Amino acid sequence: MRVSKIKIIILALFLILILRLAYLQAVKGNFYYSLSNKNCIRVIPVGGARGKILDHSGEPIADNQISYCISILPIEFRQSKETISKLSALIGKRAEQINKIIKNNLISAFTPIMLEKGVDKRTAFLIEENKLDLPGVIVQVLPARSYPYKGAAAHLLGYLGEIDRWRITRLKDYGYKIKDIIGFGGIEQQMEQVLRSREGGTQIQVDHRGRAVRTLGFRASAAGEDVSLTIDIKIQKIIEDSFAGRKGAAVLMEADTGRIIALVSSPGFYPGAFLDAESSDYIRGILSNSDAPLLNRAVSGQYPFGSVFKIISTVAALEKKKITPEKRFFCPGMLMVGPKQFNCWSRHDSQDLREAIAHSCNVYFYHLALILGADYLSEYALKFGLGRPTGIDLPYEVSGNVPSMLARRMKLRNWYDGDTANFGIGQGDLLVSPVQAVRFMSAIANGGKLVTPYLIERAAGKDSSPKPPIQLGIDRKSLQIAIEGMRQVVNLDTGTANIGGWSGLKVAGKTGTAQVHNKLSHGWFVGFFPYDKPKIVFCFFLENTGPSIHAVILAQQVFNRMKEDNLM
Amino acid sequence: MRNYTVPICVFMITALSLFTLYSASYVKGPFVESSVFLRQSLWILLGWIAYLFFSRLSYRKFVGFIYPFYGGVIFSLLLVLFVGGVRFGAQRWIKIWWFNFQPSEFAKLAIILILSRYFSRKGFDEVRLNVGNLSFFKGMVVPFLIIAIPFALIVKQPDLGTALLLVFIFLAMAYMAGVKFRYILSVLAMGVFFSPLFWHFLKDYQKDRLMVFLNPDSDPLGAGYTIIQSRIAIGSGRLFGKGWLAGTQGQLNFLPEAHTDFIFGIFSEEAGMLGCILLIGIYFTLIRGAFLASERAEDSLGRFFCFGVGLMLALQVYINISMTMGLSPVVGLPLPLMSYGGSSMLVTFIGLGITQNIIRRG
Repeated sequence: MRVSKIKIIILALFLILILRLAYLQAVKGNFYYSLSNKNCIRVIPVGGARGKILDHSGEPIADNQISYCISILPIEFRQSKETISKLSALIGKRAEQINKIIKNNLISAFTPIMLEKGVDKRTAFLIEENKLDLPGVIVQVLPARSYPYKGAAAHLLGYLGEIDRWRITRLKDYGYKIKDIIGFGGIEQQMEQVLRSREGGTQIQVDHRGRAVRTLGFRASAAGEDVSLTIDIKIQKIIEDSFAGRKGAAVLMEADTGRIIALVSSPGFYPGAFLDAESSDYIRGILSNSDAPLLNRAVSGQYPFGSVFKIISTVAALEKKKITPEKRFFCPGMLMVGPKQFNCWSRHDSQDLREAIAHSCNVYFYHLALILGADYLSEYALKFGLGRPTGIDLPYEVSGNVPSMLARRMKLRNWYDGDTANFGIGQGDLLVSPVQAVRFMSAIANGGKLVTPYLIERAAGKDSSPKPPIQLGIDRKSLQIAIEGMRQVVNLDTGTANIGGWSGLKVAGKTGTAQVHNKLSHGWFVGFFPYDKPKIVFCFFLENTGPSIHAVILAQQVFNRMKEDNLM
Repeated sequence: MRNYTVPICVFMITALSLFTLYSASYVKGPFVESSVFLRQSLWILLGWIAYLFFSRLSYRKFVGFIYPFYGGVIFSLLLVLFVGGVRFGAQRWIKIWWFNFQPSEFAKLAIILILSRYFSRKGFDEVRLNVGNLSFFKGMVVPFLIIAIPFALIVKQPDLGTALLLVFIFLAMAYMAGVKFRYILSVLAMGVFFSPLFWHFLKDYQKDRLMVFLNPDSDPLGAGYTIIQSRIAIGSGRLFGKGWLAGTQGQLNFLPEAHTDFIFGIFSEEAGMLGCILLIGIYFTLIRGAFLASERAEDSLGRFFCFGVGLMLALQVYINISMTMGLSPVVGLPLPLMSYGGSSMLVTFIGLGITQNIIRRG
């Protein structure tokens, strides 16, 4: 009796074993299987070349250059005095420095630690020849970004840097890991998925001490794919040089399609500095510079628009039949709106609409705005694409701001006639980015189509498909009157952009001087050429450099140099 | 055919042991001496010789040798304390030529023999058992004193696993001898009552082992490492195993002690769940064979002895496998007939050889 009880207990114990076995091997078998693989399979990574960024003619703006760098593989490296001193003689770094680098950068036994990058071929070969004396020291052939045009188009390109914590948490699932190089800003960020190279590596099996036992496989790294831009790097360079370090932005775009030909923000920076450990002073300088060189003013800056907005007021008033181009107002140099005096920048006496555009007469447009009403001004500003991002293929685009009576009242504040008058000449709460300015001007120039500006022509071997333009349904006659006015801006003796020297350049445009409290005003010059058959729209903007005349001079300089170089 | 159950099972298990040990020492690591496989082969050969010898020698003939054998074991246990070799903080063996003699293994056999002799002391021709007639003193105290000496010496080594095994064998054999169940319960209760006191006598590594049994992740690179790696090894075998010589946990030395106490980890990684069920099945058949022999034995000495051997095997198999699977704390108990180790192998073969002799006579 008693024996059989013990036998039952033993049978029960063995059943427990079988159940536990089934749990470990059948239920959680796959989990433990993957753990056992993680135990013994390691990958030694080999990086691939990032895709190039080319201009419209195939000229590389961001290229890849082979660079040799000396790294050590911690697993094979013996950190003895002898090897370190040999190594320090070869690469010209002190022994303490080498030890410090190794200590600070050790991630795992299989991640190479870079000691020196960009060494010359001779050193690389020397290290290879001494391979036996230097176990664990490897020469890696790394593709490195190079910039044949130095800092040209820096804002457009963005820069490369080591992935930060914020990005790594978001991109972990896409295979990014610590120390990866990733694009920051500009095309590098926008087209990261295309440009990015696929990392390859050697898969090895290791034992419990991490020593390699055998090689399991090798996957070659794959280069990233190229991105071609619509930019003409020569024109881009001319404009950047003409800025001569002044703050501002400029955009050149095809009127009919939205193809960007140049997109400049000034001051610039050298994007290669961000991957170079030795230029940390330069980077600190950039980051603390009050002129914010990293900001792409053309898409991420928003500024008061000034008198350029008068073109929108004109078109709105003509479309709503509130005015005829022949209507004349008298400008005594100021206008009383309610109790407040609104000034003109000069005294223009009597003039019609076209002359008022040419002279940028404020009084005329105060009258026009008061007749038209603020609601129509807001409507047309929005119609021409202000107050929202243009959809250009660059990150961090701002939306600007279009004031409206409704928005003002939502904040429980009053809208006065004086606000309407100010709105009509582009002062007040209106904020516009240079790329919005150029987009609005293209709709004037191309007969009322709102295009989407774009920079990327081809990516990964595929032509980009620009968004079809939006027909605004504006009468061509209204646009024609605005264009005639803008031609007079340049052509008329008293035109605000007539600084002489325009002969041969069939330019039409509108100037704008936006007053800034306590600082020099912003200057705008937005227009297109040739005025009879508009092809290229332009926007030149100078931040806190004084009246619009500076922007006009800048534009003329650029166009003349383009003409000299046969780039018109 | 019944007579061959035990040798067939033993043959199959020792064959699996050799395959597994070959695999464990296939990629040579610092742990595994290359001679492990050869030595184990030699021990199995010696084991078979001992098995044949004892299965042919009538067990009644060495009844007179039981007390001297018991004395010899106690002497050698004392010897271990003074001149024994130290391994992993425990003093368990005496080196005799090239053989690491481990007296605690022989203590298991001695305890089974002496308790069988004690409980059947009325004379081995007497068929009837003293069912229910044993007083607390005769049924519990005297046999307890018998095992107390080797128990204390083994605890001192320290080898808690073997010591506890002795206690379990003692309790189960007393139970089988007809000692009142409440006596046994009261001894168990005393043990439980005093167990907190034992905590203070434990060595640090033993405390660690108990703590990591409760939570292996508390020290994944230290005391918990073996449990975690062993669990990975077993689980990663899945249904059909990774194949002979292809288990990464064992081959690449992630699993320490893979050829001794944790041999089941290697085996199950390479043989998978089906192989494990087969192995456990063979063990079960073997143990069942010993119990059958106990039931059919012609006298009470044989009855007790076969029962003790079956029990010893069952407990060791259960404790060893459950510890590799993380079901019980890590104690240094080998998997009988599988783990590398001459003393354990020899003792198991001798025990089964005597059992075989009892079967032949039964």
